[in-house]
Amino acid sequence: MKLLILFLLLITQANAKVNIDQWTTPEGAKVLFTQTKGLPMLDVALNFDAASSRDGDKHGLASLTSSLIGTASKYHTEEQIIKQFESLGTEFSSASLKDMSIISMRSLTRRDILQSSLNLFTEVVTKVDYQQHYLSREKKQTLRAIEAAKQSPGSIANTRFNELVFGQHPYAHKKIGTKESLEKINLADLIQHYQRYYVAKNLTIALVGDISKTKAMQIARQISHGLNSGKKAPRNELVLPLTKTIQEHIEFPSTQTHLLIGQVGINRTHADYYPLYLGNHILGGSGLNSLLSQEIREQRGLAYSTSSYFTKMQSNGFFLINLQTKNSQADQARKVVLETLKNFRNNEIDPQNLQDGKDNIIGGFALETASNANILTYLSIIGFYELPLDYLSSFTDKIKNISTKDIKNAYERLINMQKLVILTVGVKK
Amino acid sequence: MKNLILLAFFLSTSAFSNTIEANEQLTQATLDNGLKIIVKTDRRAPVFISQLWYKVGASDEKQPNTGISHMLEHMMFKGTHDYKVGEFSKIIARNGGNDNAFTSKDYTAYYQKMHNSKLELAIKMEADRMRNLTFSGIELEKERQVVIEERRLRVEDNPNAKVYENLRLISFDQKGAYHAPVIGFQSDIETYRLSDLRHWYETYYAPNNATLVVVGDVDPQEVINHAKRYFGQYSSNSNIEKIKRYASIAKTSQSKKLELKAKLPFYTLGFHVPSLKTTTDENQAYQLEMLAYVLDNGLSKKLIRNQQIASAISVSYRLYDKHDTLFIISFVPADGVDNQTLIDAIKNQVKELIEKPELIQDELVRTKAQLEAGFVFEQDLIHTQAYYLGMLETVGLGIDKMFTYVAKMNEIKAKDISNIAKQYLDFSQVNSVELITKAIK
Repeated sequence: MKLLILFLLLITQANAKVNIDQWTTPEGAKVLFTQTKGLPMLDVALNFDAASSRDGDKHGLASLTSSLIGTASKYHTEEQIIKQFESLGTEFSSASLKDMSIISMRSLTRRDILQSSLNLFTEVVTKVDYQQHYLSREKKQTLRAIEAAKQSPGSIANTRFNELVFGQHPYAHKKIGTKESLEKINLADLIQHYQRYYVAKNLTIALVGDISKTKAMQIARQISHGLNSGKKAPRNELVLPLTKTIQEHIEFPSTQTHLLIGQVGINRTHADYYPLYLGNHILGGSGLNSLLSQEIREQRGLAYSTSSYFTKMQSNGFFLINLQTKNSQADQARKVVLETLKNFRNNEIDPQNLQDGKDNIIGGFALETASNANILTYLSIIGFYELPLDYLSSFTDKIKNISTKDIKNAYERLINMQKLVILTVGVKK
Repeated sequence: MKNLILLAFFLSTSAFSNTIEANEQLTQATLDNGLKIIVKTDRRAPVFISQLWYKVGASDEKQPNTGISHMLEHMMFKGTHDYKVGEFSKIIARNGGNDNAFTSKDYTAYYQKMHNSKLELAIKMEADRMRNLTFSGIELEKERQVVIEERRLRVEDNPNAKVYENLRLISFDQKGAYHAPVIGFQSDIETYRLSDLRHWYETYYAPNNATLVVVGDVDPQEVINHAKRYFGQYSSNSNIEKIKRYASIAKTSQSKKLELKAKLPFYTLGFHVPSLKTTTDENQAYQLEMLAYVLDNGLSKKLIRNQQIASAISVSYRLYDKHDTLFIISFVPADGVDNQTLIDAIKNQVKELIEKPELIQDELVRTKAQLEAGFVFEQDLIHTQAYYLGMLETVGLGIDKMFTYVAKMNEIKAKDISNIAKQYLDFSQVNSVELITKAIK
């Protein structure tokens, strides 16, 4: 009976908040771990500061370096690796963004399965064998992806928006590169990129699942042990603000015009982070209830979806409002968006909107960490961006005392209505 | 108290996809008016998802009202006698929740995800709009434009989506299900009348045509009590069983070339097959499902990684469709490779699989390991759990199918795959849609 009660307490405690353990491996990798009970599975994410902002002038290099991880190791061929993961029922994947290159694994925690999965995962990540024929194949695949993006007005718009907002910053270019940039990349570049950035000191390991802390420490040690200690990559510089409004139109034969309005945004340690976060939730970050959705969709039926968001990265990301509307309505939609943004920036919002926004974020905060997958993402972000360990547990406290004035001040400081990117892709009448 | 301890214990000890233990977390009930209730407890976090599923979707529609189930889904957020336009989502949001809805061929479903202290609110509000919807003409006109924009975004400006839409148009006769797109033809979206929507609502939105699914950290009895209180007084629709539901009508050996402004060619092949619901032998449906996995893996290995003649390939089968459905193989050829080369390679792969089933023996073992682990991984998201429960009940298969899936798939032998491929992958009957690229500028 005593055992049962103890067990119950454990479960209740786990419901109350997410407990995060953090430590550093001997080689210098940062580790964040949360034990979750209930499902016999483990998620591992390796977040390397090795993504497209480290491309230099070889656009597409980080993405290719990442996509060849899992092709061949010193001891196994690609087909052997794939077959082994499949036999274990283990999921392996990699993704490369602007800041983070992420390699992840999801495995059952049954002892034989977990250990075999980890052994293979560690080998695949730490003993990569870069081979020319895989590079040639991945380049061909990337060229197809580049072509595919050219038939999507949304992709064309996003690519161009990044170039305009980020200017000369390493965030500006498309992470998969261009036909021309790919031609300049060779196997030695990948090996060099790997050796420089896939090192322990440049890595945040996130672990979530039904294992003990002792086991988690063993796992992190095992992965980290195979890597060189290396050096942490230096921070990218901050993005410079725009000096003037840039209006651009790209002609494209679609039935809708994609409209993107925005500017340079913030990073995760920005002084106004919380008022900007809450403000954006109210402006365009809360689906149909947001002010933008009210103006664009609910009152005028101009678009199926409209939203605003900040990409919160190591250097400042962007702030963006976007929507899609039939070509003939593009002008009207642009005016409504600009007017809504201007009002939001210049005037304090309705206190009811403020309260609604807070109530939604605070009342629903438990949903943010209701799955292992969600917790894994948070651990990765907290570790990679060097956020405090109480980031999650203090989040609602940071939100609850923000006033309408705080939001207005924050948006006034950040948003410059005279220095916006206003981009349209579609048919101009 | 005891109950809770036991439940918690089951959660932690259900180490693998064991059917008996998993069912311990399930409670089912049916109200006198026919409303079906399914509760699955998951106590990992103090939250729940509540979904209300209606047995109506695009497969019940006819021209000129294609897409009307989806249009009604949009109108369900436009107010009732007690709540003004938009207030539904606003109240849910104020209470920390998020809500949305989705429509497909065989169902329309609405959901709220919230902290578990808000269970009653979610059920109360969902119950309210089963009966008291206000149909405003002004709101319909605005929402009609929103849905047309949605169609432009999803289909008109998306070449591959058009290919799939056309595959269904040529594969299924317009007198039956699955011919028209879920979102509807634009000409139909433009012309629904308020009375059409009201009629759809009054016909299908009845307790005996609906299933309430709740997954999360809730007390099942409490869910049932709230459901009784808020849905209990509604009378059932005694005609619901008499409404004619149209099966899908297969058309074979159809092909179409679509010339579209696009950069990449795309080709899709559709074979007519039964679903788990329509098959006379359930084993065959699971064998088709396994065939899709094995072919997908085999073709990816051979044509993308090895021969490098395809840049994308996918094989899919809709196991849980309510009516006879399609087994689909789609591909994007590699640069400079023509479609016929790919089609020949696919035919060869199928032929080899039929003639030498022993070659897929290892592949089969690996796929089974993936499915077994995948079943555990799927439990991580409460909305995935709720989706399978609600969908299986709604199409008429019943929720036990969720827990017997892995075992049924495990029974399959290489020879079964060979036989099922031989029976259904008949290239002389196949339907196809080919996207031919036209310069964009």
